Amino acid sequence: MREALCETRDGENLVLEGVKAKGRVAGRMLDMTIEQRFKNPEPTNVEVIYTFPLPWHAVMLGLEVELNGETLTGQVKAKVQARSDYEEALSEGNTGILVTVNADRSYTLELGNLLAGESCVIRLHYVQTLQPEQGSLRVTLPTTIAPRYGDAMRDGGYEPHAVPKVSATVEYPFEITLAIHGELVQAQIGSPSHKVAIRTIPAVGTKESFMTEVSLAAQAWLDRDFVLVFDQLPHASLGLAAWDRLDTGLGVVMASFTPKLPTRELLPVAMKILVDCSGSMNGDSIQAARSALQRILDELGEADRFSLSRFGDTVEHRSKAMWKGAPAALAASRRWAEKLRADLGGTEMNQAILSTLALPGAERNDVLLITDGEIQAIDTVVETARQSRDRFFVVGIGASVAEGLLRRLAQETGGSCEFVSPGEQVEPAIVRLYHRMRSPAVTRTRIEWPQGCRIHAASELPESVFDGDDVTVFARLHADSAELLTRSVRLLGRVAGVEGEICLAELNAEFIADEANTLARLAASQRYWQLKKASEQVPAMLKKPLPELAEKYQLVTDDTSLILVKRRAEGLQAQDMPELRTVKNMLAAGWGGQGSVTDPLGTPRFRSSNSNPAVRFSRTHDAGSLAVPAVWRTHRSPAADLTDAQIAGSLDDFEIPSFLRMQSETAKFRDIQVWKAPPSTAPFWVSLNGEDEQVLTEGRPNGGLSPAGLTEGLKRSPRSVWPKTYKELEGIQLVPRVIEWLEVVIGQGQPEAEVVQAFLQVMNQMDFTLRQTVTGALRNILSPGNKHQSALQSELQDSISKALEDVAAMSWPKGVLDYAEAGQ
Amino acid sequence: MFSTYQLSELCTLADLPIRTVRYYVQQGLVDRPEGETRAARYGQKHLDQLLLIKKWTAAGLSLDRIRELLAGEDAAVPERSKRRGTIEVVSRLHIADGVELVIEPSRAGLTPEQVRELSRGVMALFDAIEARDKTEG
Repeated sequence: MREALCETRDGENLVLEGVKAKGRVAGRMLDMTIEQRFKNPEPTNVEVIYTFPLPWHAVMLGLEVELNGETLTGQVKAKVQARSDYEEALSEGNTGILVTVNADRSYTLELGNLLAGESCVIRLHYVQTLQPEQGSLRVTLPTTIAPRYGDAMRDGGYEPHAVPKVSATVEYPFEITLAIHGELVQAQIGSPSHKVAIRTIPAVGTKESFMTEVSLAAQAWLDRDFVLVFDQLPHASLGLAAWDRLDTGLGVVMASFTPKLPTRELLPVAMKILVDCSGSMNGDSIQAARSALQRILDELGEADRFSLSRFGDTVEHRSKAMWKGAPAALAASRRWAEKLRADLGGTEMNQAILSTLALPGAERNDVLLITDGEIQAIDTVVETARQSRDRFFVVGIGASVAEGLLRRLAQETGGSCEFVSPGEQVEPAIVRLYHRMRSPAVTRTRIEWPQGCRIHAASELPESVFDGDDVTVFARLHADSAELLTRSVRLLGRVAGVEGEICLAELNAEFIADEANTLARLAASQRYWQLKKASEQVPAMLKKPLPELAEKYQLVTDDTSLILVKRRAEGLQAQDMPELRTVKNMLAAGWGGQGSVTDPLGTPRFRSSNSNPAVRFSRTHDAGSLAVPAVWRTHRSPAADLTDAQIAGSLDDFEIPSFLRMQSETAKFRDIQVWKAPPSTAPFWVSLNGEDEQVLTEGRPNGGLSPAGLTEGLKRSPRSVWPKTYKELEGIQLVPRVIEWLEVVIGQGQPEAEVVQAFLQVMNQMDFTLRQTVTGALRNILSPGNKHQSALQSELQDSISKALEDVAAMSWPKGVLDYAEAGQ
Repeated sequence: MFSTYQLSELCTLADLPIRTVRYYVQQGLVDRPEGETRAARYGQKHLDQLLLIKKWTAAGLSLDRIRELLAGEDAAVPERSKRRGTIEVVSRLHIADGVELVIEPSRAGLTPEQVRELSRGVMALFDAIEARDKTEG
């Protein structure tokens, strides 16, 4: 299999040799060059396909290729033309390089006819406007595309050849250097994703005397986003202006507003929290999700309302409606958050959102989604979210989160996004999130462009404007002089509770020469994507000139691609159709629990314990002494083995799953006093979730103890083995919510042992007769408390009896199970 | 009658983008053409293959599955997902803290000798990685 050459681990046969990024940050602009080095180590002619991510706001501006010692530059052409040029180059034995953008705004590079032994260096140049949020700026460079849930072609809109592929064994080295200029030098700089070296060096070619250089301090790979965080930035709006070099008389103004809202009282929130518990969240991500959720809960108060749900293949709602932020509800939520596991399989996000939206709540709610965003069917999700008219706030989690998908979801619903890398402090993100949710909405926002200029085209403002979150807009203006372009630009809007229209931000753009026409190209790019993604309401007349606009300003879009063709000299052309070599992305670090990213670098991750390795069966107890290798049965079915084991009885313990062993073991330890569970029959066990769920699976209880079941157990077991702690109540399979209720509602501030004792005492006094089991209508009248017991015991028993008034043999009272909903 | 097409003609007939058709050829889903580069010619056989792949992808089959079907593998009924309550006995070979090898010998079709060999191999590899890390660190 020649295909396998791509996958070898040792590097020699990999086509992609590595990636180097070099960038410059100044003002609100990041200027980056990504260098991808390819080498064909094989004796055959190959075509390389590499699908890679770029940041969501990145605008690709150029392509430079080094091939056989020659440096060439690419050109943007209409998509169909570029494709046909490329195919022709290949069929004629020449070399073509084509860069196209995919539906999720990742890019695919095709490099065709790279002959045996040839090398090729690709340099992609992009510019990105930076968006500080509340004094903090996050600069991200994604390096890999993590596996996503769903069909890449049907749901994700990928062409077959461009579908990103992933390998768990490939390794590509990654380097990055960033030069930081201007006021950003004064910020606190750090990277939550990589070990970086930060140093101040004399600046070259600028007005300032110093700049800051950030580079990697340790070997890195293309397996996680590179993240650089700037903190404590000054709040200040900033603007740039320049002439458009392609249209005489037209000027471009870029305005980055930092809106300042009048201080208002903080508003209560009404939010539906939805946590992604699909398999891809396993490991670091679910850990980060748990801590994010705990922090979110910490901020909730009595005036707030919230609901909790988690999803994967299915969705599970913790409450039937929204809860008040009361102590009992919050305590229940914390317990729920603590137990979050990424065990729900796939990522049926759309179904989960629909189901969550359907939960009864306030007229207008916010939805808070905690996820890694690794899904293909994002269009459906965005559409569902938009139609709900709720704002979607997103906390993106993971080492290689699908930034673009989540940004779209938040932007189009008027919410916002926060991202948290594994091991990063979650606190600042949550603080910013609440700051937005608790602020009054800004409505009817508009921009006043400089006086004396006539607007040619101006970009739309986002759905929402938040205090301290940068908003970047562009306008193309007819102006008679450069001075006119630098006059005041204002962002205006209305805020609930404040009379009339107010000015949220104001700036005077700085006029620059801009020989590369970057500003005009950025403006064109923003216009292109805004109109392209706009709904049907936008007249077709506005959308029609978009392909032309993209080609004129040399932008890689849905309608255009970057193409470069190198004609080969006679005799040096390829003679056949090249073999395909798809560059597989590295599996994102920590994805789905594949190793941990949060481990401190350099420390050994495994404790050595290789002496006497033990072979164990999965269902046995965790006994440490099972060092004897089990008998391997190769040609027999496991079921047959089990029957044998049961018959033989004398086989070693570990060959029988523990639950089948239970009976014989109880017999063996007859003299030792242990908790005796009630028989596995219907009246003693109840399901944990829905009523229709089967309580017994093949004779084994699958739910928790019913009231009658607990009472029966108490009668069978001596008092000395009764549970004494909440944990032990869990051990005898009491319904978890009943334990939570005990802990949170009854036991607030009381000693655990007393609470458990009081509860069991009350339950022990109950008597469910067979008739009651059937009708469930009668209750035993509780006998008066024992004279010898303490006042606390009496008090506890009293309140427990009261709460259990509605208890029936086969069902715990509603008020107990839904304790967190009580008091609303 | 044996008609021959250029790649672009073939794409028009199959109503598929040229990139997709070439991808299928490179992937071995469609036979390579007669002749190379400019002189490459495709026939009815290639068109039939393309139309079949098109039909199958439209029906929701993945390219990997199509490859298997084209290679003459049985259109086997997919294995039933495990029923609730099904008991499966697997062995967990403990290699180090947090590292286990899970083997279900009957499904893996391994003999006891092979399982032992695998286990020894994995353990040796783990030791080698650890030893290397120590010397490097």
